[in-house]
Amino acid sequence: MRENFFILLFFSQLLSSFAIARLPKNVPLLPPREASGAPVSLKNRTYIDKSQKSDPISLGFELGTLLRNDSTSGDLLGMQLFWGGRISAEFALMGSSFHIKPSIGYFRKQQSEGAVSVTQHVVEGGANFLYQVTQFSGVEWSLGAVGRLDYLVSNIRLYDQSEFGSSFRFRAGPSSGLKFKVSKEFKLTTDFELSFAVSRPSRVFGGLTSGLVFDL
Amino acid sequence: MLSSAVKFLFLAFGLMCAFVSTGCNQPVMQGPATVSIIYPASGHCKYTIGPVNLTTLENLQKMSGKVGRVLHSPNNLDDNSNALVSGEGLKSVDTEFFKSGNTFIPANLDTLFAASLYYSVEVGYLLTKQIEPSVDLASVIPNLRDTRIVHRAIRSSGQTGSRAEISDNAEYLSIRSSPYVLNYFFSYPTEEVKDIPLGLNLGIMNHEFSHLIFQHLFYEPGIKRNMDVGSSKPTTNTLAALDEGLADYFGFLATQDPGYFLCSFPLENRDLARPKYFNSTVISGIEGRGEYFDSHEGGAVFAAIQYELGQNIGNHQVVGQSLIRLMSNILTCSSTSSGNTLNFNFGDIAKCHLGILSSDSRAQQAARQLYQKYLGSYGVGL
Repeated sequence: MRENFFILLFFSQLLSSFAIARLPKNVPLLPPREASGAPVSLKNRTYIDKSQKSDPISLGFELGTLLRNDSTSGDLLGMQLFWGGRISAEFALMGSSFHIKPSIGYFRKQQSEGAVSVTQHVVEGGANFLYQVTQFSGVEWSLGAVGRLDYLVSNIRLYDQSEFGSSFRFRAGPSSGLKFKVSKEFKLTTDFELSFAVSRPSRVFGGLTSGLVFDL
Repeated sequence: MLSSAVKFLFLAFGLMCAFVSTGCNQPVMQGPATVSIIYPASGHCKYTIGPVNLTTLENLQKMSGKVGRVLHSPNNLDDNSNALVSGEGLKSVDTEFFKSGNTFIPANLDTLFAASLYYSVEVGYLLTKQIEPSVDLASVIPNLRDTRIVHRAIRSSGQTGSRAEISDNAEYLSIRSSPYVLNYFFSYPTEEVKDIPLGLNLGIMNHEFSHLIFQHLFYEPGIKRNMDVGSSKPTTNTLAALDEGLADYFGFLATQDPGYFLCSFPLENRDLARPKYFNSTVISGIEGRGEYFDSHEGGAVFAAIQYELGQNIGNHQVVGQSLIRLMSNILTCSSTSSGNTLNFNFGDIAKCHLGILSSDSRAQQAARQLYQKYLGSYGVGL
C-alpha cells in the first residue's frame, strides 16, 4: 500500500516538475540593450531569443556505479558496487540557477559461489533538484538533493532453476554535479550523490556516474 | 538570490527526508518464517530453490533463533586468540529479503547463505529430536541458542608455516568457556567447488551437526565423569573415526541421499551406498601402524555399514536412533569401558551397538551380519 503511495506521489511530483519547467517565463519589458538606447536590430532580437534559451533542455547519458553499504561483503570500503547507467533530461526551473534533472537508470550486481548465483537488478527512476552554485570557464558546479524510487529484482539461480524476488525502495539525499563544456552542444558531466533508504538495517547509498550531456 | 537557493535546497531535502521517514515504522521481521533457500529435493543431488519453514527462527533479520545465530567476521578469526571465546568481531550477517506472499526471498548471496545455514542447523536439531525424542538438544546444551554459525569464515590451516586460509570446507568446533561449551559451525569460502557450496549442502552441514551431538552426548558427559582413555586399544583413533562415521550417516538422514558428499565433491569416495571394508590398510591407520591415519576413511566404512543396515531392514529411523543411543552408551557399555577407563576398537563399538539393537532382533541380526562382513579382523567374534 505504501509502495503504491510512493509511486503515485513520485510520479505526480515528476509531472508537476515537467509542467513547471514548461511554463512561460517572465520576459522583461525591455531588454537592457534597448533600455540603454542601443539601436534595435534584428540581430539583437536574435540574441535576446538565444538568451531566453540559455537554460535549454539537455539530455544526458551517464555510466557508473551505484554503491550500497553492506557490512558482510563489501567490494569497496564496506560498499557493494552495482554497475550500470542513467539517461537523464535537465530543465531549468524557477530561473536559470535552479534545475530539475529527472532520470531513469539501471544497475546490476552478480555474486556466485559454485553452481549458485544471485543477480541483483536495480531499475531506478527519480530526479535531482539542483542549484547551480558557480559557472566559470566552461565549468558548472551544482548542489542539490536527489530522490529516487528503485524497483529491485533479485534472481537466484541454481543450474537451470531460477527464483525471483522483487521490491520497491525509496531513497533520498544530497547530490552534486559537475559539468565541463567540451563543445557548443556537448558537456562532460559527473554526478555524485549520497542517499538514504529507511529499512532495517538502514541503508546508505552512493552514486557516481559520468557521461555526456547534449544541449537541445 | 542566495537565500532563495538555500531555501530551495532545504525545502527539497526536507521534503525528501519527510518522504523517506514515512517508512520508518517497518516492523521487525520476527520468526518463525517461510524463506526461500537452496535445499535438496528427493533424488541424488537434486537441489532446488524453494520455500522452507524456519520454525525455530526468532529474528529473521539477524537470522537467530533457538538453535543458534548466523554470524560473519571480515577478519581472520585465528589472528586474535580471544576472538572465538569472546565472539569479538563477529556480527550478524547483513541480510535483505523481499517478501512475496508469505515467503521471504533472499535479495543477495549472503542472505541466501545465512538462511540456508540456519536451516541446516535447525534440520539437525529437529531431526535428532524426531529420531530420539528423549534427546532434546536445547535441554542438553543450555546455550544452544548461542551456537555460532559463521558464514564465509576466515581461518587459517596449520599452526605455523604457510597458514593458508581454509576454503571449500565446513567445520564444527567446540570451545570450553566456563560455564558452557561454545559451539561453532564454520562455513568456509568457496574456491574450487563448482557444484553445491559446502555451506548450502544440507548433508555436509548436518555431518558437522552430528559432531555437535557427539560432543554433547559423549565427550562432555565423559569429561564430567573424569573418564580416562586407555592405551591397550586404539581408542583415540577409533573415536575420531567413529565420530566421522556417525556424522556421515547423520548427513544421509538429513538429506535421504547417500551420495550427498558428491553434490559438492563429485570425485570423493564418500558415497554411503558403496560398501567399504576395514581392510588391513584402514586398520593399520586406526591402530597407528600405518603411514597416516585419516579418520574419515574408517568413518566412511562405518557409515556405509549403517546405510546398508537401514536399507536391509527398511528403516533408517531405527538405525539413527540406535546410533544416537550409541553415542552416550559408549561411556557405559561393558565392551567399551571398564571402570573409569575407555578402551575399545571398532569390534567393541559393534558389540555395544548390537546390545542397543537387542530390542529389535531383526535389526540386531542384520547388523551382526554386516559387521562380520565389513569389519575385517574387528568383526571376528561378534
